[in-house]
Amino acid sequence: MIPEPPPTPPHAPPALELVQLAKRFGQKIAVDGLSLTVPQGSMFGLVGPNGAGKTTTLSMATGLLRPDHGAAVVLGHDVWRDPAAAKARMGVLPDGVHLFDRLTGAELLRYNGLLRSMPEADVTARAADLLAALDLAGTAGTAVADYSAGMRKKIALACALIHAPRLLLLDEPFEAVDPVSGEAIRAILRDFVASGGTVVLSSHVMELVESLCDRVAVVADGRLVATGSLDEVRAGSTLQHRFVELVGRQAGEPEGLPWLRTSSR
Amino acid sequence: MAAHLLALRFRLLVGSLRQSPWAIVALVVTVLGAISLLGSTLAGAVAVRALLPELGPAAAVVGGAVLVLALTAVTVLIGTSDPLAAERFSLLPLRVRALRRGLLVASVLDPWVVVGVLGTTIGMVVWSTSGLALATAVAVLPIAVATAVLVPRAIADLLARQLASKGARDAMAIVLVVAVLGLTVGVQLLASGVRAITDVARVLETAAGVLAWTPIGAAFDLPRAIAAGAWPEAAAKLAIALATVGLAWWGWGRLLGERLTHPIVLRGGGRVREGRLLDRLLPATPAGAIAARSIRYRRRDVRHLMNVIAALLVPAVVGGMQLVGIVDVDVDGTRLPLDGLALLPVLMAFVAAAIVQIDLAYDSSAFAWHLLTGVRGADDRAGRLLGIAVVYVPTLLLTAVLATWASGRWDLLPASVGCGLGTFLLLAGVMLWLGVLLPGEAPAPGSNPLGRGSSGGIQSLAGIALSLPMLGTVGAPCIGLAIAAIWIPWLGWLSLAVGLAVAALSAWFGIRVGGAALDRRGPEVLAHVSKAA
Repeated sequence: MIPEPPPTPPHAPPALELVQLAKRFGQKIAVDGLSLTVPQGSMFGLVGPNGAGKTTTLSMATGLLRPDHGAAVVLGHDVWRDPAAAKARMGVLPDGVHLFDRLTGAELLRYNGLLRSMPEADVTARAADLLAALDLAGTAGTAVADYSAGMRKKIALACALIHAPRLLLLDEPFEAVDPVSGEAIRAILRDFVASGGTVVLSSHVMELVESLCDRVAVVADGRLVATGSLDEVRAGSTLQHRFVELVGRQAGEPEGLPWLRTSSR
Repeated sequence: MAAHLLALRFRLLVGSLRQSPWAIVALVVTVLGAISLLGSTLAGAVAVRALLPELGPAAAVVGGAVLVLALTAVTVLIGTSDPLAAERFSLLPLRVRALRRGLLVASVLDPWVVVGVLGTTIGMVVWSTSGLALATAVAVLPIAVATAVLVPRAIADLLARQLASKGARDAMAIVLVVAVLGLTVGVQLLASGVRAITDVARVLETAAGVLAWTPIGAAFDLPRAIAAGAWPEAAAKLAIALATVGLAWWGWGRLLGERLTHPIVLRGGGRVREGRLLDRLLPATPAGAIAARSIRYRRRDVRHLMNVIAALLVPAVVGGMQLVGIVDVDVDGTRLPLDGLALLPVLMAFVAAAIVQIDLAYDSSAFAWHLLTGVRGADDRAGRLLGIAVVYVPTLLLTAVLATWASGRWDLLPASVGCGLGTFLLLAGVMLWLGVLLPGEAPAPGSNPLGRGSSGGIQSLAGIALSLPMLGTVGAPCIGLAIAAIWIPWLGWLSLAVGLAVAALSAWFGIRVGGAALDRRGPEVLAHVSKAA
């Protein structure tokens, strides 16, 4: 990877721009006119409570779920009008999606590389690099079905990286990943951003977002509640504290469930 | 507990009906099928009672055994009621006894259990010849019903467990092929004795005599044995029938208990054999990669493997028949016209083409990776067609050769190959397109391979029905020429040429039009096929 960040052109298009995205499932409005701009070269954290619409938003931004309204633009290419151009520029780690898990780790990587019309030699070389970097080389010949949850996360991440995208959209990339692999992934992502790439990741762990991201967006009930640089959003407090404040729900009251206390029995 | 499970099953049924109009159509088709099956059973029973009352006992035994076998086959093929799979209760503090009782009660909402109960009850009609026999039939009805309900349940659960382990899968496949071969030979040996209607009665009685001593037939012979006063025989058969029910009940409980603590999960089986050869043979393009993946899945994914085995049964049956010599069967001195047997590959082509339609549904939400990588719809279609053709076309050719051999008319081989290949690729091309509009359903990855949707669901039936007009028009020249070749053999070569031309055109259509449809509808298809998971 390139060690020096290339200067961003003054009028560079944002890495990701969401314009008034909306999606309704039956009676439930999952995403309600959400607009968001992610500048190039940023490490962007997307946080929100369960059911806030993070995964729905990311699905619409990546071409998996057709929005009822609005647009998603990747580096100047509309995801829904010009999907081929937009998809070639982004790498996606979806959450809650099956893998082709009867393939081995190495076969799965090769499969994703070839699906993206990459030359075979590049696929082979990069697959070996990725397997080594994510500590999966020893299990490259094992069916993905037999991987643990954390290993699946890592092989899926490798699939998202193999074509060297310029924008990474990662839904819960650190979930179930062990601390050592988590640090390896962080290093890869920091290096990627330093070289001019852009990362958008969703997470529930505020400490992680705080330590990794330079920009943050808070989503609740399908709407954007706050966005900006990390310092702007946390406004002198911790992100955890701000988040609870913004989302408007108090952390579980200790008085909540008296019957659950062992001493009351 | 039982009432609770029954209510749960009912709410799940209503919920599935609300979720998709296809579920309503599926229920209606199932109910109509069950009604027509029961109606013809009733008509048959009444006819035997009225016209051939002396055949009643034999008919009851054979009919009962066939009912148990058929329900077992149906339960194995379309799955035990998946929404109440034992694994889902594994975190609850439940005893197996309570769960087993509850599941049994809840199964009254399962159409096939209803068929078992009503079918067994209808069988009593034939006993109305004697008061004692009828009284006995009523008395042992619970045993007969329990046999028809519990035996299929226990066998299906046992098979599901066996199929989950990789080593057993291969063994099962062989056993299944051998069993069907054996059954074919058995039926053939029975049929070879048939010369006239009176022979039918003799064959029926021979079969009944044998089946009455087996677990699946003993309960149905009790009324005759008791009415005839054959007490030792009756006692022995009662023991067999009770032991069968007891064993099925106990075995089902054991399997349920096992599933509560050790769920059926299909594991890949550790290191798999990596076929580097496949990667070298197929081009390193999106379509080539999809074809390679498709071929690997036929072998490694038990859901696909089951389909391959099912397709292999056709040539196995034909080969088996030929080995026993069905060709020499003649009825009342006239030789059966077996020339048509050479055209059997047409039927086989249907089975293979139906798989093309629902192939995408087997991917479930993993199809998202095709959308994320921006694969063109045409590449997706071409890769899948190639992958399926590599596995099924050789099977089709094998069937053509065996069927031609069985027909004794080697000059029909070109016609046999032509109509088989032509039909397969014509339908496959249509299915490549229809499969985008009606993706069907498949058992979820890693779940019970015999679970819900293993027959493709109602959309699969709709797809076959919709493709029939194509077969009748575009496919007509190829099939017509193949039939004509029975009398004018050289037309078979013409049929082969026309078949290959139609096949190429249709494959091109499927890849182009189906691919364009997939480009348009990709996210909607993903939403449909990942719903089941």
